Amino acid sequence: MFDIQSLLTLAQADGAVESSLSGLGRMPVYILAGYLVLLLILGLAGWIKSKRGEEDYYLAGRSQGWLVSSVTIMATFFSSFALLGAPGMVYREGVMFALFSLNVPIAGLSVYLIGSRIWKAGRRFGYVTPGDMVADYYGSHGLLKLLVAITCVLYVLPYVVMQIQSGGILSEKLFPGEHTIDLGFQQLTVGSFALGSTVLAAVTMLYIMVGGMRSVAWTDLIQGLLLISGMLVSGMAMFLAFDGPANFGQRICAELPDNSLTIPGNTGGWPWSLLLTVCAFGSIGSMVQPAQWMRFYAASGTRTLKRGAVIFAVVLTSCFILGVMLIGLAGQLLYPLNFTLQESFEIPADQILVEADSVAGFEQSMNAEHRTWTWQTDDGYQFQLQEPTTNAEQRSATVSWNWMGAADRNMPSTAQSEFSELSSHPNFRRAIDRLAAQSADPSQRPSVAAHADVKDYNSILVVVVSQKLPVVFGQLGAIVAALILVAIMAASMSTADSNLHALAAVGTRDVYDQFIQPDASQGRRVWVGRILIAVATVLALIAVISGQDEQVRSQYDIIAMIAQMGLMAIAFSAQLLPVVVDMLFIRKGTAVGAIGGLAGGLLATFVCGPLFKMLASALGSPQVLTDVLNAVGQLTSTVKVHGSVWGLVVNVPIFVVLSLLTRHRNPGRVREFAETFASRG
Amino acid sequence: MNSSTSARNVRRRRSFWVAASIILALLMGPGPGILLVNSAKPIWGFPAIYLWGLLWYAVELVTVVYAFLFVWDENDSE
Repeated sequence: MFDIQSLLTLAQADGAVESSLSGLGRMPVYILAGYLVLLLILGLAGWIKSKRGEEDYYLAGRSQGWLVSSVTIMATFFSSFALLGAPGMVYREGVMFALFSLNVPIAGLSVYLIGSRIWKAGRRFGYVTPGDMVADYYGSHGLLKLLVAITCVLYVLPYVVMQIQSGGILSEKLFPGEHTIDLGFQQLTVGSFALGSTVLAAVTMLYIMVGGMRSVAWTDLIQGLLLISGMLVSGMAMFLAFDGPANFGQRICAELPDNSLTIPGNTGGWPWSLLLTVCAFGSIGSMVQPAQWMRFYAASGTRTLKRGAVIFAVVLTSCFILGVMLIGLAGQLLYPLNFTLQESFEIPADQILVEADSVAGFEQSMNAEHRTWTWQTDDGYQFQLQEPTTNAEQRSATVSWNWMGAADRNMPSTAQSEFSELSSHPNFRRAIDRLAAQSADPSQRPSVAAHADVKDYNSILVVVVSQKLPVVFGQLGAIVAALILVAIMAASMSTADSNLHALAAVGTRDVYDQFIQPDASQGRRVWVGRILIAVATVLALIAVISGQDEQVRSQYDIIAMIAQMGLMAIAFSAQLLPVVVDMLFIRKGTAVGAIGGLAGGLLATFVCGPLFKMLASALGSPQVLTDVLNAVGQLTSTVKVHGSVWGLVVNVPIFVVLSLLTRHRNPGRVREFAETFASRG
Repeated sequence: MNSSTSARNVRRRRSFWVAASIILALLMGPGPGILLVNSAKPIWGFPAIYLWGLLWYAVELVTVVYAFLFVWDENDSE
């Protein structure tokens, strides 16, 4: 959910990240090159060990042991959100977001509770994709299978595109500038973004195409171990850098503002209702996405998944709450947040607020639209008056009061008098009074911004790790910092490979085999899957690279649209939950109920998410859509919950009512499922 | 009552407590229970809600390990 945003915003935090990375020398290049070569070797090894047939290519022959299964499930669950977005959220919101970690044991429980039954049904009936199982159980191989495939694609597609983009973004930070590649017959000059995203896409595509699930799982093992160590080491390094946990805790309590230590966080955007529903539905929703579902099929047995569930819950939660989340808190100590209160007021067209050319204590700056007067102190306080220079009938001016971290937010009366000297305009004086009153009232929540040296919340890990570790731990710190940066690349690749592989399986089994060529041989279907992987990778790469071009972006902002899809990915996949719970535990639902519920849930999720707003805007905002948007906006801002909840509120009642009104198409299959779950694992 | 019925009843009871513990941990950790400690005042030198999170993390962890050892049986039925 947060992953996509973290990548996009990291792209904007240029100067700070680049300057902090320059201290690492060539270390990241060597580690990254070694890592990529290792991935290709593992891909090749997967191909050597592979056998013919679909089950082997998509599910590694349903033979994955507990170590590979555990780590590949964890690596697929991880994305760059784990290393960029999560510490960024703690940096922005404060301690409360560390409790987001409590979603991980819930996901861990799902690995066994959901996974073991999916495994049993998959083994008995030979399922490969989620669509295979749902369509076969409900006896609906047309519409229901297509709906499940659409749900899967809605999850997978944005993740593939955005992870490839992350390769470009990270490459821009690590190796800025243009690079010349000698092809022998021609010299090619490419930007670091295009180079990074192409290398990530090409390496990922190669090892999935040659080795299928086996190569993906083996590379996930390396990537997962890199990620786990990166998350744990980065957090533990903070304890050491701040002279132990006790001192670290005391400094956090003493130096962080109250809003950073309480819920709903600094922005006020995280009430318990949102945190709870993210932990409950976000976690389970991400465990029924197609790549995870296929990992349940691929396990060697339910004992494997049982071990995997415990490892997942223990290791991964520790990585978050005792690891990477601490980076966000350290970030607030090292780079205090900026807080701003603001007041706007109107001034008539013919009036000027400040007559003088210069005022003692204030700096003046000017652009095409505004003249700005700034007063600031060495300890981070800043007052600003922004007066418009345009000649509109009514013009709006603003005054703002800014402070850093846990500094006293009150505007001192002496300072208030000094600011009032800027202008005698009554509207200005009243605005200053209102601003001073706001600063004295703790219930008035200020707007929040990252420290000027960080620029963007999601680059906090990159900035803290690359600046702090080499200083505190010397050469060893530089090596660890470089490893953690490569772990970010690993997070992206492990998500991209699993999703590309799942996309190929869904496209082949649920669409090609179902609607285009039902009698194709297994060998042919594997090749169709490989071609799909290549086509999807190339299309994603074209979207990512062309998305950098300003001219293209001004006409078709594909990346913005995909980013919005990514924000809703887990909410979409969570719409499979009623069907999953019914198939695995209740067995009272019918095909009509499943189709109605899933369609209604997807539609409600779409309407309550940002994509609907984009669609309404693209259609010229017709009145009916604007009315729906306003109603939805009011609802979602009043009741703050995870996006999946809105879909489920529609999905579940439709599923239950339609199932009560209709009959199951294949009662024999219901009995067989019950027998399968009662059998030995 | 034969031994297999008795074993099933014990497991059912344990499953209930596992489910109850997880729901309790969710409601108390990231749920409305967090409002009980929603203060900037530190506890033992640490932010109160961080310690609160660690406490419910421990509850979740113990529950998962308990389920692994005493409830989940891959050879058993539902």
